[in-house]
Amino acid sequence: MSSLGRSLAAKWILAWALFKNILRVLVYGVRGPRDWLAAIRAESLGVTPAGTWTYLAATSRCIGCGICDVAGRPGERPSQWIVQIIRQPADSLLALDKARRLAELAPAIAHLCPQGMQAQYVSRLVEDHARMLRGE
Amino acid sequence: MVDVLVIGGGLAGVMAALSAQSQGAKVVLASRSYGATALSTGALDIAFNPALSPALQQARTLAEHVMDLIAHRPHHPYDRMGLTTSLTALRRGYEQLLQVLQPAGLAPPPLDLEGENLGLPASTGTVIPAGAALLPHLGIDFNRPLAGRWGVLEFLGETFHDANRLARGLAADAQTLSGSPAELIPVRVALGERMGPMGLAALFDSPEYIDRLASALRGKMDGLAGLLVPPVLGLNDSAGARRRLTELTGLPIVETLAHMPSVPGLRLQRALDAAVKAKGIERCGEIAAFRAAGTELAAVTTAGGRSMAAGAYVLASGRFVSGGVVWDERGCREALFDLPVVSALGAVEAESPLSVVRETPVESHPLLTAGVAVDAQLRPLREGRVAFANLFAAGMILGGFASRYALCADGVAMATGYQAGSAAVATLGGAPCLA
Repeated sequence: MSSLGRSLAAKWILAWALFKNILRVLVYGVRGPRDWLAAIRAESLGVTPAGTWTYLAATSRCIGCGICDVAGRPGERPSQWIVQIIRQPADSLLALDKARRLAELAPAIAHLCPQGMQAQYVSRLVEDHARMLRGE
Repeated sequence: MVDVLVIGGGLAGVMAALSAQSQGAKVVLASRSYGATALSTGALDIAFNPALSPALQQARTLAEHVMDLIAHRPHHPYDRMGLTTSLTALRRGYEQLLQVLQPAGLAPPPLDLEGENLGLPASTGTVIPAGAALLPHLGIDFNRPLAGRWGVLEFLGETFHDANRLARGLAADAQTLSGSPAELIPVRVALGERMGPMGLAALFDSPEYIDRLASALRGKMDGLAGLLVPPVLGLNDSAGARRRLTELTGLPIVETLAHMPSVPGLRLQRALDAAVKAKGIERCGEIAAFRAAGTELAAVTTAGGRSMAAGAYVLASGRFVSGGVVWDERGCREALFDLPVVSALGAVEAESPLSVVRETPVESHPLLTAGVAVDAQLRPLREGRVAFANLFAAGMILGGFASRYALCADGVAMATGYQAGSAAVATLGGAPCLA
């Protein structure tokens, strides 16, 4: 196919997609995220509670250097808990013990962390999600 | 009233604090938390630039590498200070560091600027050039033919250290660098624990654990000339751990340089903290705000609200990792005093991220050279003028050079830290300054 032909084919695909979307809005109206949220609830994924956003920023500073491991006892890896448990809120109920231990280690981690990670907020994030998953 | 207030508790900040105090100043050291020093590898990078030294085998002294950097890197701190001042400050800063490292048993031999870079084994399986290193990492120089067969220790079950990969990588690099084959063989032990570098290092502080390791090694060391171990040889008493393992095995023990998380970096940071404490230097927390009076810095305020006035200030807050340089909605800038940031390629502006492609592949990304511009006295500049007459900068907050690819971060921290501390004292009223 010539370059003109490829260009016309791409434009036709885009135009058809646009037409379909306009048609769907005209027929069904704007549906918003209702169905999407319902699907998430069925999966027990949950949505970040509104108040949680206020301290999410403080939990996203980790650069993965691992130096906070020295705050824990031999065998404890707080650096791995920090990066793992805040990325899987659906598993918050399973991570509660780690979150509570992180809260205990938070002052020592703040002293060590080059980025000033506030690990107690990671714990609160997990506890908030756990409460939501329990329906509280 | 404080004479000199140093902002930053890493290598450069502590060098500046010790330098100022040794010249009679009353010093306060402000730091938020550990910075990039606590993540360093254990090597002490003085000067080496692969982009300027394409033939790695070519013998060049450390002083010649400093001259290379001055000749080819117009923004480099060595160039800012000039050759004579750089070499003098390097020697004096290094002597200061030796005193810091002595109590922990980490002090390497004195600096020989007429000597060459060493070829040290890194835990990534490559040979890294370094001007010096903390004592546990010395004992092998892969720039020279390796005498005898060395074992490479691996703890079975640990994923952070692969002896086989390490042995093959180091042997290949050694062949290239020295022209002779190096014989390295994996030595594996299973002690049951699986806990990562920090946890293992904590175990090495216990003599009982070293005894268990020596027992596990029995029968596996026949014919070995030495043992290369992962960088986990003790957190609080690495000198004792190394001594005990040497006695029990009868072999020289060398630790590889670390990647993150770095036990050697933590040891270095703790030695610096101990030196600050031993010298009676007061510490305060993070500095959150400042007040200027005319052309001078009048006072700073800690995050806890304490206001502190000093005659002179040293900024040694590091770059992105340590929080000294940030890129936020206001662009790329120095975090505390809002100083403009420059890179090796020029000014860094909010709307113009610098190119990621450099002329030679061994050059670093321009943003890795981002920091403040300074004059010959190490005073930060704003729009071509000295920002504050009594503010000096040291270490990685200085812009225009790359730490990783110029392999000079520790040398810059020692030299500029020493020099900034001296210059700060000189502004107080006539004390002699090197420059």
